[in-house]
Parts: sequence; C-alpha cells; structure tokens
Amino acid sequence: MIIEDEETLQMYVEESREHLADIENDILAIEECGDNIDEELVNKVFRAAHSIKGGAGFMGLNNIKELSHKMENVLGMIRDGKLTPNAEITNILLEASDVLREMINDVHNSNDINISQYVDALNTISESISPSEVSEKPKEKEPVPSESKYTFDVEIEEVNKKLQKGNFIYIANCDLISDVQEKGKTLNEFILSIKDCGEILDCTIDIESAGTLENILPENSLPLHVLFASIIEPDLITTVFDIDESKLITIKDDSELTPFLKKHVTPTTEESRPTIEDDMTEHPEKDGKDQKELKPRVEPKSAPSKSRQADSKPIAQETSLRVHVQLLDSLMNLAGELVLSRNQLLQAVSSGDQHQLEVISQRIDMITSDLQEAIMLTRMQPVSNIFNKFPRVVRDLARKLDKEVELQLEGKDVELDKTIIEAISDPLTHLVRNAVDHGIELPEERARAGKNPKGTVILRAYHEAGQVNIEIADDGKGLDPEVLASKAVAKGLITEEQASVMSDKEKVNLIFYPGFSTAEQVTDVSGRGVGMDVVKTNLDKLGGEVELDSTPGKGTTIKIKLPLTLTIIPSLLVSTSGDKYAIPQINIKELLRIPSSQVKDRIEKVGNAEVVRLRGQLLPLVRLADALDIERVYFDRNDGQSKPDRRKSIADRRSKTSPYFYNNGENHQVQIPETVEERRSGVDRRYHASSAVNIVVVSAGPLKYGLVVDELHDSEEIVVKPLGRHIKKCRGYIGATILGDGRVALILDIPNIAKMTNLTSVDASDRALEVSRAAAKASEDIQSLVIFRNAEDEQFAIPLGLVQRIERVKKSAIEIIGNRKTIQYRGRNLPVIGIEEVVDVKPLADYEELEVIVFQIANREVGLLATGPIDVLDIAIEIDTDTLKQQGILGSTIINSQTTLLLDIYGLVEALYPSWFTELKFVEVDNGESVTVLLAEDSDFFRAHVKKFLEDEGYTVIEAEDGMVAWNILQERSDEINLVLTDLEMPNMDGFTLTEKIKTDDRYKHLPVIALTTLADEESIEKGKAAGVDDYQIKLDKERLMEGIYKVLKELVPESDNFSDQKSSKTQLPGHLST
Amino acid sequence: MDKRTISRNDKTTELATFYLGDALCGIDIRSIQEINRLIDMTRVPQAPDYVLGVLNLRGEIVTVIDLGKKLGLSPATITSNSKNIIINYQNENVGLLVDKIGDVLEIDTRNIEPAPANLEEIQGRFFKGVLKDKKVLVGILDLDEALKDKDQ
Repeated sequence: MIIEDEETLQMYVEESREHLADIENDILAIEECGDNIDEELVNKVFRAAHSIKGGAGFMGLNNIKELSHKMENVLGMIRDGKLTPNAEITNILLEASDVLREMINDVHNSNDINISQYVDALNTISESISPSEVSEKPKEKEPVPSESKYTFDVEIEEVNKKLQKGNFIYIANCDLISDVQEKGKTLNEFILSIKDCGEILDCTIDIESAGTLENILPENSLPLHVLFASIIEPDLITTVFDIDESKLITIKDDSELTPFLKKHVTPTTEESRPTIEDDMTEHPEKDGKDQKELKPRVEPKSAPSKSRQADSKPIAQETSLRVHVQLLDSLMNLAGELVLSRNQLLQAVSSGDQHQLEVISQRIDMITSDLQEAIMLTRMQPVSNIFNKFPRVVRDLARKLDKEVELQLEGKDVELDKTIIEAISDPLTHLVRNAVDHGIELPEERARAGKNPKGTVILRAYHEAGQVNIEIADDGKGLDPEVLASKAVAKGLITEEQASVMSDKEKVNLIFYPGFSTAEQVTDVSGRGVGMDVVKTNLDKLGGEVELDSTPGKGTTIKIKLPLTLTIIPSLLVSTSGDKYAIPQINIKELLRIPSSQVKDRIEKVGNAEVVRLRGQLLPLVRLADALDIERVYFDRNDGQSKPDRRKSIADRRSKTSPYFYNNGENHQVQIPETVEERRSGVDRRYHASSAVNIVVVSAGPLKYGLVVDELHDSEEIVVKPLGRHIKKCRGYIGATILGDGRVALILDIPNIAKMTNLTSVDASDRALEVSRAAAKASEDIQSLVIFRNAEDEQFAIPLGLVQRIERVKKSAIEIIGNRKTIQYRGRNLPVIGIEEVVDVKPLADYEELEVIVFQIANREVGLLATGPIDVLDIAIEIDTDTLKQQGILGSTIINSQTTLLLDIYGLVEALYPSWFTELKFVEVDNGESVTVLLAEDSDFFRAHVKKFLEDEGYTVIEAEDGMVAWNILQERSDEINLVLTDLEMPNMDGFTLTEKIKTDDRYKHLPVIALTTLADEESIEKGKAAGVDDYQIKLDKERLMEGIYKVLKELVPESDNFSDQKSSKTQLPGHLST
Repeated sequence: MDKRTISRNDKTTELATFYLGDALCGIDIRSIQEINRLIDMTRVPQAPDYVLGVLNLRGEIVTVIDLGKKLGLSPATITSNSKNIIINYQNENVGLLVDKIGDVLEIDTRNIEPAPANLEEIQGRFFKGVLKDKKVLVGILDLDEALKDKDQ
C-alpha cells in the first residue's frame, strides 16, 4: 500500500468516518422513501461515497475505492430513478457500508480484506438494470473494442502501478485539428497542459486515419491518442483536455487496457480477483430474480462480523477529536489569561503583597473554572453518535423477527462526555435489542390486542437536574411482575416471603439482579450472553442509575440516569483509619451522624450484620475499614491518639475493665471512679462527641446502605485519575484523585464495595426483612414524641409529626394584647398559648428563656409555650384515654417513669380560638345521622388520635385493631359504614389487602377507602393505588385528613344512591371547601 | 531475544545501581525517569502486598512498589536513605522504592554474564544477568519481568 503521509491518512480516515456516520441512516431513509426518491438525500449519500472513493484513490486504498465506487454506481442509479431501493438493495448497501467502515477503521489492512462478495452483490444490482440504461457503464464498456486501431507501447505493470497509486488511466482520443488547431493552441501547449495534471504514458498519432492530403474532407482530422495517468477524476478530466466526453475512455482495470496494448501481458491481479465484467457477461440476463436471491446474499460469511460491527461502531476507536474553532479560541483566550495571571502571581509572590495575592488567586480560581468548563465542552459529544446506529439495529432485528417496529429518536443533540458515550453504547444496544426482541409483539399479536401492528420504540435523551436521562420506551407487552417474581423465587434469588412484600416496581426491577436473566434470555437475537445485570453493572460503573417501569400490555420504559462527565466529579471526602477517601456525590443520599448517646439504641445487630434505624427503615451498615480490610481505629481522647478498635460491634461499649485499656495503667487509674456504676456512666467513650458514628448513606442502584467512616470532611470537586496496573484489580476504587495538600486520595467504588461485602440487593433486603420482623414485635406502636414541660414537674408530649419547629424566646418577648399572648417573630405576630390557659395544670415555670413549639393549625401558625428540656423520643406507648381526659388532653401515658399528658393541640387551639375552626365544622346530618367511618388502625395511639379528630368533626367512628377485624365489622355492619380509613401496615391483614378485598367485593366496592400513612412514600402510594385506595393522608395532619375525607365523600355523592339520599340536600358544606 | 545484552548497539552502557537490602541491583539508566525522595504515599488497601501505595508525581498518580518484596528479596525499610526510582513501564510511571541508591556504572556489555544457576527459580526470572565488576557483583534487573503483574 502506498501511504506516504500518516497524517494525511489520519485526516482521510476521520473524514471518511464522518461521511460514514450518517450514511447508514440516510440509506434507511432512502429505503423508506421507496419510489418517492428524495434526491437531496440520495445525493448526500452519493457524495459521501464519492468523497470516500476519491480519497481512497489518492491514498492507494484500492479496496475502499472499489467498494465505494460500486456503491456510488448503485446510488447513482437510485438517484436517476432507474432503481427502486427495495429492502434487498438496502441490505446490500448497508452491508457494503459496514465493510467500508470496517476497512476505514483498519485502514492499513484494508487492502487485504476480501470484498468481492460485496462488489459482486452491488454489481448484480447494477446489472439487473440493462447495461444501456446505466449511466456510468457505457463509458467503461462501449469504447472497448475487440481490436483497436491504435495501440500503446507500455508495460502493463506500469499501468497497474499507476492505478494502485490512485491514478485514473485515460485514453484521450483527441483530434489535433479540431481540438488543438482550431482552438488556437499549439501542439506543444496542448501537451504541456496535459503534463501539468498528469503523466503521459504513451501517445500515438494515427496517421492512417488522417487520410491523404488529397481528399481533405470537412471532417478532416488528425487523431492523437494519449494514454494518460492522472489523479483527476473522470468528471473533471474533460476540462483538462478540453475535449468532448465521448472521446475520453476511462480505464478502470488493466484488463480494459489490454486491447490497446501491443503486447498482451496477462495482468497479475486478474486471477486473484474475479473481475466484475466476468460476472456480468456470464449471466447477464439469467433470470433476474434468481440472481437476486443468490448473489446479493452475502450473509453466511459476514454474519458474525456484521453483528459485531453493528454493536461496536467506530466511536470506540477514535483517537482524535474535532473541536469547534470557536471553542478552541476560547481555550486559547483562557490559556492566555492564565499566563497573565501566573505572571502577576509571580510578581505578587516576590513582592509579598498579600492583597494582590488574594486578588490574583481569585482570578486564577475563576479562570480555572472557565478552563475546566471549556475543556469539558471539547469532550462533549452528542448522543446522536450512538443513537444513529439504532435505526439500523432495529430495522435488521425487526426484519429478522418479522416484526414491525418504528424507532423514534428524541434529543439527539443532548451532549455527554466522550467516555460516557463510548461506555453506554453496548448497554444501550442491549436494551434496544431487548425492547424489539422481547418487548414488541408480533404484528398479529398486536392487532389482536387492539394495538397498532407497528410497534414503537422510543429512544429519548434529555437533561434533568445536572444529569442526562436516557429513556428506552416500547409499547410492547410489558413485563409481568408476578412472572418475574416467581421466576426469581424459582431461581432462589429471593424468598416467597420477600416476593410477597415487594411492590410491582420492585418486582419488575428484579430483572436487573445478577443471575436473573441468563439462559432463557439468550435468544438468537439479543443473546450475546449479556444479561440485564451486566447492563446494570456497566451503567453502575459510570455512576449511572437504571430504573425500569412496566405496565403489562402497555409497554416498558427503562430510564437511565447518567452524569454529564466522569473526569471531574463532585465528591465527599471522608476518612477512615487515618486515610482520606473520596465518595462520588452521585452515590451519596444523605449523611447520618448518630450521637454517641443513641448509638446503642439505633444501631443493632442481626446475625453478623449491623443495621441502623433510619426513619423506620433498617439500613444495612458497612464499615469502610472492614470493607477495605484495614485495621479499625478509634480516637482515644485521653491521650489524643488513634488506637486499634477491637469491638465486634459499633454499639459495643469499650469497657474500662477490658484488658485493652489497662496497658498504660496509672493515668487511667486516676480517672476510673470507684464504683462500677459511676465508672460506666463516667468514662465510657461511647458517650463522648468524638465517639459519634458517622454514616454516609450511599446508594448503588436499588441498594442503599450506610458506610460507616471515622470522619466526614468537605465536599470537593475532584479530578478522577486512573490507577496504575498493579492496583487496577482492587475492586474498591474507581480511581484516585489529588487533594489540595498534594496527597492522593482513593475514590471509592460504592457499588463494588457493596459487592465486596456481599451486600447485594437481595441480601440486604433479606437481612432487612429479618431484622424488621424481629424488630416489629418489639417496636409495635412506636411513636416519635416531643417531650417537654410546662411547670417544672409536669411532663407533656406531642407527636413530632405535628411540630413545625421549635424556637427559643425570652420571656420578656411575650406581649399580652387583648387577653391573647403573642410574640413577634420574623416581623409578624405569632399567637402563643400556654397550656394552663385551657387545661387544668400548673402554670408555666417562671424561666427567663422559654421554648415555643410552633404548629400549623387551620392554615395559621400558633406557638405553644413550654419549658425544657425538650427531647424527642421514639417510644412505644399505651395511652390511657379515660383517666385524665379533658379539653386539650388526649390522654395520659407513662414516659421515663413519669406520668405524661398527651396534648391535643387542636383541642387547645380550638378552645382559645374557636373562630379558626368554624369553617371546618361540617358534614353533620340533620336527622341526627352522621357519616360513619370505619377506622382500621393497629396503633392505639394513632387510633385514639384519629378517632378524636373524627369525632370532633361529628363523624361516627367504628374502631378496628387490624384489617381482619375491620373486614369482619364491615361484613356485619356494612349498611352503617360510609367510609373506610385504614392504616397500611397492620398485623393479620394489612391495609393493602383490606382495600383490595373491599374494592373487589361488589357489596363494598362503592365505599371510599382512604389510606393513612405516617410518611407517604411513593412506593406504598403506588401499591395502594393499585389496590384501589382512593386517597392518601398523613395520620396526624388533621386538616388535610378532613379535607380528604370530605373530597372523597363529595365525589361519591353523584355516584352512590345510598349516600346521596342521605346527603345531597342535607350536608352543609363548609365555606372554604365548597368549591 | 538474548537476555544477556542490555543494548545491542553499544558496547558500553550506563547502569544505575541500587540496593535492595544487601543485594546490589542495576537497571539501564535510560529507563529511569527520575529518582526522588517522595515517600509520602497513600496506602491502597486490598492492593497486592508489594504495592506500598500511590503518590502524586506532579499531577500523576504513581504506584509505588516495594521492589525487594516484589522480587522476593528483603522488603524495604523506609530510612533516610530510601529513594523512589520512577521508571516508565509500559506508558505508566511506576515508583520503585529501594533502600539505597548506588553509583552509576559505565559497563561493558560483554562483561555481563548469565544469571547464575544457583539463583532461585523465582528470582532468577527477574534478572537478565549479573555483572562482575572489579569488586562487586551487580544483578541486572529485567524490568519487564520484575514489574509484571501476576495475572498478566
């Protein structure tokens, strides 16, 4: 091969790639147009093939040249309307473009690739049109007479050499009279002009045909035959010679030249490569159809390579990148500014001007940020780079599976970092293939289901919250959560029990679990042995998240969230055992610091696993030091040193009696008090601030866990640097970064750490389930209560959920106006109330500083005066609702061995500001009947609370301790009940089941069901909605609850006769709700 | 390839020598990028035991290897004599922590003899040969072999 200049070659390769990038989709678009040829589009592809050919000729890349030339021929015919691009032709063109791409990517070996089958196939197409119609053929064929009147004396090797160098060989049949003399040129000028643009191999003047001098005819001529080699293309060469096109013969192959040669030398290349002409002439008209079947099919041989190409396209190999000049300019500018600032900095440093230094450092800071951003931009590439290959993938696959699939691409301009683009190519391909293979049904099946027989797959990219989202949505058959769940159970990935508590969403996401999608998924089509779990792992590596949403019968949507870039990432620095590590922010959900005093209560151990209670859920804990297998240390505040920590469990206390602490005896002895009791409370380091447990709550896909670290530091933008080969295999890191102090910190690979500690999702939920079951018994009826005092010795409690915030005010700040107390708060008056104003209790203790607990009631804020210490406790309580009941008091209980009154803040406020509530009084029925609510709630506390709300509003309440009881009551007293309020988590029968039972029973399905939750999380809402819950309300938000009840009842009025009879005329609607 | 020759073109070559424990080893000076005293490394838990840690060499993360341990000789002890030899190994900078730096020897490649047969199997693999200078014996390291990752 003759490539003299590597750089030029590189440029050519890049340019060709660009041409090829679009060619595929354009070919597909051409196919779509069918007869209705979009000339512009065909021209575009034509031009692409043409440019590739041109460059290839110049570079001596014969194979590329030949193939692109053949493609050009076919495209030319399509453009001229001689050929209708059917699927077969499109296939061949596509395959040819694949091979072309392959050759371009491996340009140095391109001449060794066997392309004859593709060339043949393309020839067959052009041949199927009769040769005379082919625009470019005549030039090649016609002028090749069996015997020529003139011959050239030239070695065939020489001609071959020229051809290989990318020259075109022409035979120009000029006429010295008409073409030279009559145009006012001399022969010398003519020859020189030819020599300017090529090389004359030989020329001969045909004296005989000039005739004799006697019979000078008007068409007198003196033919000059020039054998000429030039790199100028055929369409331009005529202008060089200034002669008519018909007089020019283009020699494409040495065989064409043979008749013109004096000596007939068999060309060497002839044998190795079956010539095109042979094929064409041998069976020119041989049953066109047959040929189409046989010839163009190049599949058997190319099948494996084809699929490989389709999957990993050129993006994987790019070594250089095109950058917009504007961007380059701005980079240059920034570099210039940086240099200036450096000069200033050096000056300032030498002069020691502190102020100047600060100014410059700010400047450099700014420039650096800009620079970073600009550099980032150069790495950004549109997702169309990968999206564009999918029309082909989908088309081929759909054809193979006999499906009709339309692919819609949205957001092709969205840009992502180059490395990410490269890395998501494979996972995306897999997902798209899956969508076509498993998602979209066969046309008949779709028609039967009443869908458009043509399925749609949408590939969509968009920005959201600093991340890029990519969605793959199909309108196929969707995934059946139950089937997936049972499969997972069958495979032993989860237990029946786990499956039973999983939401549908969790179930469909089982597909991502390792080991889930194996053999069965590996069909001939999407089976590359890559299961969904691998897809997920790959995306996890990028810091991406995958989420799958599916409705059986409707389709599946897979959403991938990706960071914009990987090289500079925000992260949190933590340290453990003295070393700093960085955790990518993208993995971090929240930070949790468990004060030393609570460690014992909140961190529990189940089997070997430690878990922490976080908002009612159990979070598995992983100690970073353990995960990395390094020695744990703790900070000994006595001597300010870090020491090895040998506790088995975080919640274990380091007892002073432990032999570990007697090592440096005497110092300690002084501090160790005499009695065991005192010693425990006195010097247990667990109760010191430095013994608090720092937990970084991280997520790796669906899995959330807590990483226990020694210290939390700043969050910082870090630059990710690769690790050397010797430590590449450590799975715990995605790289390293250099900190401000110049030291290196390793960046943790959160998903992998989870794996290293055998903390897969299933495992975690397994443990969590175990733990939660164990804990459930103990923690029945646990409430978060705010404990405070009014008089020094009277304790009160109020549910934390009602409290907006707690303020501290000076006693003097309380103003008494018109018998009402207020304080000024943020420029407004905040009404405050004292408990003793309503309830018969001792007056507020006379402290200088008072606490104000702020509530939101009836859309107003109100403060409750209290005295400290204020504490929040999670405790199980039993409420005695009778003994101490009075206005404003819900009941009493015993907390920390002290009688505690549970406040009813609504009652309190109502007593003082009855006007606030008038508008809420409603739904009373004239004839004395009230709306009857069935309240299913296992917690006594909440049941009492909600019941009181309801009764205060005039509803009749029937209580049930769990779903089963409620169900039984419902069956007995169904005609009384107008509404069901149910808790979700209950023993015996939970709220979901109860709702489902109600909603599927013809007798009760008209009953509105409102679910009560402590915290409305999305999943349970979804699950509840599926069961048929009409509304969701938070247990302790009285107003919202009432509003919700009202809304549900109102909706019911026109529907249910039984209800409207009672209500329609009689219900008094409250003012603010009547709209 | 003939392992005995360090360079085919020249008869003499310069050998940078250093001590691993008591053993004097040498490598072709041209493979050395720099020698420094950076020993402020960040340890890498879970890394192979011969990896001492990583350090920041002007913005690049360099893996520091305890050459003695890697070769199965005595592990390095960090003293004031300890030095980090930064070499470029397959397009990646790697630091070799050695106990002490020796002289640079200009040697005649013809004086290099094959590694003695009594060098233990594993260690023998790492040496291209030995050089008998007037007094001392220098083991000439085969860096490619020495730095090879086990599973490579």
